[in-house]
Formats: sequence, structure tokens, C-alpha cells
Amino acid sequence: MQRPWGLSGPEFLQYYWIALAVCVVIAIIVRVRVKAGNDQPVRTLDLDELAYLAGGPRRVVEASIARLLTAEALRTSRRGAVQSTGSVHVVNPIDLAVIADAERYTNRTISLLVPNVAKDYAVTTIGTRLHQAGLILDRDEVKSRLRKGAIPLWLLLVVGIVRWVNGIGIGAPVGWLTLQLVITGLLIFIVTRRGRLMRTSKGDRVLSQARSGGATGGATGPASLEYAGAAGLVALGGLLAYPDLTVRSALMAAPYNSGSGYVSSGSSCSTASSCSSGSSCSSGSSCGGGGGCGGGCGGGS
Amino acid sequence: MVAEEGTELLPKLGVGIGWRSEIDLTVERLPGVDFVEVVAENIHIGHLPESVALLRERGVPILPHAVSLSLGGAEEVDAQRVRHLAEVAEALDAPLVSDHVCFVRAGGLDSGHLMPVPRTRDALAVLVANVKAAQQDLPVPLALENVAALLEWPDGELTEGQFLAELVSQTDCYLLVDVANLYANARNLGTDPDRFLDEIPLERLAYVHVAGGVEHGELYHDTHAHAVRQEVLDLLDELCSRVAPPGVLLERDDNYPSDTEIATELAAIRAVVEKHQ
Repeated sequence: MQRPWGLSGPEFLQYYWIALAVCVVIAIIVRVRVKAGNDQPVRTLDLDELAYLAGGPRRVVEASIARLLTAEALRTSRRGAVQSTGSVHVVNPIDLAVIADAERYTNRTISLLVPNVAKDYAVTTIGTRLHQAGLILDRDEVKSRLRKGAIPLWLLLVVGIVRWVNGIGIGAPVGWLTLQLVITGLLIFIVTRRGRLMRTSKGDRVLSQARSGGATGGATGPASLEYAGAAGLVALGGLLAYPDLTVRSALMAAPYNSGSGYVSSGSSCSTASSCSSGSSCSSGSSCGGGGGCGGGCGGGS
Repeated sequence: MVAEEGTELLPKLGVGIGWRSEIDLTVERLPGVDFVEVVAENIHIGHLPESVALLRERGVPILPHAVSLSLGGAEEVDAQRVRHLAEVAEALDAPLVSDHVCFVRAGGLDSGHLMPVPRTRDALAVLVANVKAAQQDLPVPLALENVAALLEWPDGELTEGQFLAELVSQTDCYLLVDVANLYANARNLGTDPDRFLDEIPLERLAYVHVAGGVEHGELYHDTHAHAVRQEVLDLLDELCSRVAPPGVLLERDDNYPSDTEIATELAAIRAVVEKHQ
């Protein structure tokens, strides 16, 4: 029996299993440490931050929509098109971004509004704050650290491939080694997957406390009051949690994929109107104006 | 039901609001909406908006309001448009339909506006012929509305009130009086609203429109996109002091305010109406 590198085939396989186990443990430790977050004390989160923690940037926009609907600053039609009423003065920067988006377009459905506003600085800056507070994970940083954690597995794989090529060359049986290489490849894929790794353990704990009715960081305070109402429900549960069934149905009427919320897909759905009237009135309404009112409306119905 | 001697029965409508798809949920849920009006051209037979169907199920009267018959035009009335209006009326089980005393197209061109009709006897004859032609194909009574105009055609032989009175006399149509248009014409053309109300046959009043507008320079624009002015409510008050209108409807077509503001406008209208009851 040939002994390449001074190891028989069974001996190499045995050492490979041991090395593979060690590499996996290293990768798991890295993953756990990534998830752990930092040691900063938890401060009280406002509703927008809680929404981000619960569902990412989209959830922040959804909570804002709920808040604006409740305040009558925004209304929805049955087909899920939202409009600003112009009746309420808003100061929250996310609310302002939502209102601005709704006013920029006619028949703006939430399927288009939410992903667009989710990219607004007012929303993304919340993510930055939560990351600095050690509550959520930075997507790129997570990816980088998980990849580093998989380096031992990659090295082991390279060693195994060299042994496998050598085995083929000398006509040695490589069935078990082939299986080990496949398993190693699968493990590399698994340990480098970001998956639903979005919140730190601390973030999970804060969110869990908020869901159970507390505020944050184990302390109850004014924030718990802020989490009440439709916006609070939506912050934690998405638009499906909006308490008014009719409005909820309207909001969900337009093609909309809430998704995990943390990843902006950038996709958008067209919701073309079919409101062709064949009317002589270009607006399709009987609106007045007596001329000169703009907007193509008719003349003084 | 209210009825005048020798006339068809028209329902007591109450206080209503123009149904628009943008505010469909609002209209459905506002308290005190006794009836609604839909723009007939926006309704597709067989594909009634869910909200309209819901209101119909609730028994809320829904009145089709047309904007495209062009009854004041020199051309014959488009039978297809009349047929569509008739179909909408039947689909909604509407007690009456309405359009405007105006023309919106000529020579194959659409104006995009409700253009005033010259108040001459010749123009009246054309209008009367078109109205009679339309009435023949409509399953329910037709009401016609005074429009807001920024110009008056020269050589008018009749005042607006006289013109409408003659129209009613010759066609047996009903009147849809828009007090906001009346106000706009008073502001922009110097029409005397009191004389208008003196001259029109108030017993043929089907219902009343109320709407908001805005001033641009020296002109008042009946935009339906701004709040109802007190002066318009004062005109409604004047009208209600003369006759109890079967219905009064708030028209809003753009820049829709909050539900609370719309409810407040409806309440203000109702207060004027109930003041005279």
C-alpha cells in the first residue's frame, strides 16, 4: 500500500474528519461572535427604530404609513393607492419622505412607495444607528466575517483536493475522499450563508421585550406608549397587522411583497389604471374650473 | 319622495358627496352620506367599482352625472353616449341622471371644458332638440346643470335664469343647480344670483351641487379642489330659503383633504339645509 505524505488512505480520511470538525467549530464560533453584537448598553428605541429592528427599512416605511393613515395625513383608496391629504403638519423625517413620495406621483401604490422610501436617507440612517448600537448586523461586515470564518474549511478543501488528485494519479481508491470533499464544499456554503442573520442577539432580545409589551433594554418607559396604536402594531407585524381590516385589505390590494424587509429587492410592480372613460373631460371627472384651473379639468360642472 | 303636481316623482336625497375612486373608502365610511353621484363616463357596465357596488347594496342612491353629452352643441347628440348613460342608470338603479347646459365638442374636437351655450333663442332651440332626443333614450328623468363660465357669448337674448326656465318649460327636464357655479358667474360675469333664483322654476329642482374654488387674480375658479367658501354656502342658504332642495351634494375632484375636513364640509352643508326645515 502506498503512503503519500506518510499517511495511508484510512489514516488521511480519519485526520480529515477530525480537521473538518475543528474547522466547522471555528466557523460556528465566528458566526456566534458575529451575532453577539457589542456590549453597549441598550437605550430606548423610538418607534421607527423598533420597526427597523423588527423588519428592516421597509417596515419603517410601513409603520410610517400606518401612523399617517391614523393621523389622516394620508388616505388609501380601495385599490391601494395612497394620497396625501395635506391636512396634517408632519415633522417626522420618514413621514415627510412618505408624504413627499405620495405627492410626487398620482395613484401611488404602496408596492411602489415602500421600496422607494425605504432607500431614503431618513430610513437608512436608522439602520446605521441600530448597527452602532449593536442591535443589527451590517450586511457587508457579516458577509466578510463569515467568509473569514470559513477560511480553515477552504484550506482543508484544498488539501483534500490535492490528495484526491494524487490518489487518482497513483490509482488509489478515492470514493470516501470524494464524499469528504463534497461534504466540505456543502459546509462552506452553509457557514458562509448570511440567511436571516439580521439582528444581533442583543437586537433579538430587545425586539422580544418590545413584542411582550415592554420597552427596551428591560426598562419600561415612555417608549412603550409610543409603540401603541396602529403604527406600533405595524412596526412589529408589518401591514398585515394594521388593525382596520378594510384599510388593511386596501393596502394589500396592490401587488406587494413585504418580504423579509431587510433586503431591498429593488423590484417594482406596475399597477396601471384602467380608468379609461372615453369622456370628453380629460380628467374623467366632472370637475370645474371655468377654465384656467389647470390639470385638464372641465369647465365648471 | 317629493312630488310636484304633474311631475314625476323624485326621491328625497338628503346630503351627499361625489364618489371618486381616490376617496372611495372615505365616501363609504363617512357618516351622513345620504346619496352619491358618480361620473357616468368613468363607470364601466359589468365592472362596477367594488365601492360603488357596496354603496348600492347598502341602498345608497347613486346618481350618474354625465360630462360628455354636449347637449348644447350644434351637432346631434351622440347616441352611444346617451346609451351608455342609460345603461349606467339602469345598472345603478338610479332615480335620475344629469349632465350640463353646455357643449364640449364641435367639429370633431373636444374642448376638455364645459363650454357655455350662447343664450339666444336659436341656441335654445338646438339645446331643446338635443335634450329631447336624449330624453327619449333615457330610462329615468334628466336633470341639467348650470355651468361656470369665464365668458359670455355676445348677443344673448335671455338671462341665464330665463334660459334655464325656457329649457325646463320646453323639455320638462329637471334642474341641477350648482351654487358654486352660480357664485363663480356672479364673481366673474356679474350674474345676479338672486335674479337667477327668481327666474328658474325651483319646483323642478332635482338637487344642488356645492363645491370649492380659489381666486386667481380677479377671477374665481371653480376648481372643486379647494374648500367650500362661505359665500357659496350663503348662496345655498338663499336657495334653501326659497325651496327645500331634494338633495345637496358636495363635489370634490382633486386635492382631497382629510376625512375629518370632508365630514366638516358635509356637516356645514347639512346645517344650512336643516336650518330651513
